Formats: sequence, structure tokens, C-alpha cells
Amino acid sequence: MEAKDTNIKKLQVVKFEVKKGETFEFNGNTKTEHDRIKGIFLRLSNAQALQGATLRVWLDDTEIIPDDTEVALLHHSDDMSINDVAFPVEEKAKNSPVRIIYKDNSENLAVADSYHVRVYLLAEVDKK
Amino acid sequence: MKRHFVITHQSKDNGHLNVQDLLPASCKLITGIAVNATVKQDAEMEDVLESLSFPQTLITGLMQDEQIASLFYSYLRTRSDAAESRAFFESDILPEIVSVLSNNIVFSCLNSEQQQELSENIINLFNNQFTNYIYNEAGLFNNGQGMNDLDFTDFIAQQTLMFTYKHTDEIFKHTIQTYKQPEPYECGNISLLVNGNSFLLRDYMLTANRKVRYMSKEIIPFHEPLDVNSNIHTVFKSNKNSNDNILTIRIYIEYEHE
Repeated sequence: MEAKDTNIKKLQVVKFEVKKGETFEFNGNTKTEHDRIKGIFLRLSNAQALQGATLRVWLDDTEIIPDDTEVALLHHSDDMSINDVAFPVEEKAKNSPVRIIYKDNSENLAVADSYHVRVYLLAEVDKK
Repeated sequence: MKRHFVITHQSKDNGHLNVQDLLPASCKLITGIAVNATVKQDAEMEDVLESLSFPQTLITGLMQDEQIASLFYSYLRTRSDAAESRAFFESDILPEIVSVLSNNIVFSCLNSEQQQELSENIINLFNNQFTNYIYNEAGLFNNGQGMNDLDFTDFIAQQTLMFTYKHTDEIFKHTIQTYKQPEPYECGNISLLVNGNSFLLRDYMLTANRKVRYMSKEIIPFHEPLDVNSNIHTVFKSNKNSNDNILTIRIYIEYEHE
């Protein structure tokens, strides 16, 4: 039988607003109380802006999502399970830096002027 | 740990591609590949009919209001004769129902014009069809013979609700404008070769603007050990369907990273 994963699952959400056709850079940190980041996925407040949007992500100074990766590949829509969508990573949390560069490409799709992007970091805390 | 590497190429004016890219030095084993193509196109606006939620509790609440209940005693006097009962219903009860519904069913998502239209639809529908419905189908005259005031308001409320629900599609809808998303189409064939001889993909049909699923579903699994400084050769044959649009092809290479 598979060993049961006893670590506590946590979530960290990074939210930012992206303007049509613009690039947004987010710099922040993971939470000190989280031990590691196990996965990452996104949700857009306006899924029409998905086409052509790309992103690049660093966690703990490691580039985990390379430049020009389409957001659509990490986007969670209602018909998918989070486990499927979450991009698997294994990086240290504990206040490590998070850097996200999000490039919108939706000006041709005439979506509203701006929309919100939420980046979800699936974190784990070791059971003491 | 798996890592990814993205190669992006653009094809302009339906051009073919024949390009070579160096893979990262740490890429010694390719474990999967995903390919996607997108085209930047201007989206057009289109009108879409969207349903509004059916305000069941609101209608029930409104119908049990004082205004309707107080009409019962006047109705009592008329219930011996079918024609008189119907005339009273049309002259007194129906206008009350119509005004209660049209003034109180308000959707915050509608602008004033749309709200006006909704109210008018309610008024027209009830004025034209409700009396026939409640007398012919629901049988108010026969059923109303032994009713007290509570039964009466309850009956009116139930029948109003049923009648409105039957006509949900006619009333509770509004038009919204959305942007038409670009249509998917087959844009060409792609072949990927490692070091100029080993095919990863061969004449793989590329569909532009298709709906992309999540990464693990998109990846086609491979097991391709590599030498240091390997390169990947991309050959794209356009099938000339892209018109003047620029086609962006992205190749995602998943590899084992020590």
C-alpha cells in the first residue's frame, strides 16, 4: 500500500491585476510557516484573456516555469481537478522569494481593460 | 526533478520553418513533448442570450403579501357566479398581481432599459394569458368555492409561481455581448528531430487556437537520452490556412533534471 502522506497541505494565493496588453511583474515571498511548495496553478477572472498569455516563474531563485510558457497550460477551469492542473514543483518555501512575470496578449480579444490573476501555490508543512 | 524548456517560433505569411535550437546543457533525457500553436486574431462581438435566475422565493413572498390577501373578501362576494368571478379577477386581482410582480422583480444585472423591458414582458404576459390559465387550467372558480383567505392567497401564489415558471424562457433572459473566441483550424504539420536524425514527432498535425488542457495532459511522453549539447530541429510545413496572421508555435520539452 502506498505510504500515506501525513504532511499538512496549505495554500498560498498571490493576486494581481493585469492590464490588457501589459506585462506584470510580481515579486514576493513564500510564507515563513510553509516548508515547501509542491505545485502551482492559476485562475483568471476573465478566461477570455487566456489565449496568448504567457508567464515565467521563479521559486527560491530557481526558474521553475521557463519564459514564454502559456498560461493556458496551468489554468484551472471548473471542469478539472486541481491535482491534474497543478504544475508539480518541489522547492523550499520558508520565506523564499517568488517572482512571476506575467505577459498578457489579449488586446486583440477586446477583453475588459484589466482582469485579476490569482496564482495558487500548493504548500506543505511538515508535521512535527 | 522534471524541468521544462520552451522553444518559440513564429511563422509569418504562411511561411514554412526549418530551424535548429540548442537544448539546455542539463537536458540529458527528454521525457516528454507538447506542441501548441496560437494565432493572434481580432475577436468580434456577438450577442448571446443568457438566462436570468428564476426568482422563486421572491414571487412566493410577493404573492403572500397583504395587497393580494385583502382582495379575498371582495372576491368572496363574486364566487357564486363564474362570469362575475372572472370579471372581478380581471378588474381587481390581476392588476394587483401584475403591479406587485412588475415593480418588485428587479435584477441588478440589468440596466434601466433592460429592466423596463422585463417589466413590460411580465405585464404583457400576465395581462394576455394569466386569467385564462388560472380559470381554465388551474380551475380557480371550482377550487375557490370552499377556500378561506389563507387558502386563497396560497392558491394564487402557487399558480402565479407555476405560470411564471412555465414561461421562464420568455421572461427571464437578457442579451449580453461577448467576444467571439478565435476558431481552431489546422495550420500545418510539424516534425521534430533530435540532432538531425532521430524523430520525436513526424508530420504531426498542428491545430491552431485549439483548447489547451493542463500541462500533464498535453505532454506526449518520450524517453530520449541525449548527448551534451544536443540540438533540436523544427520543421514546420504550413498548409497556408493562416492568411496574414502570425502563427506562434511553442514547443515544450520536458526533461529530467538532476
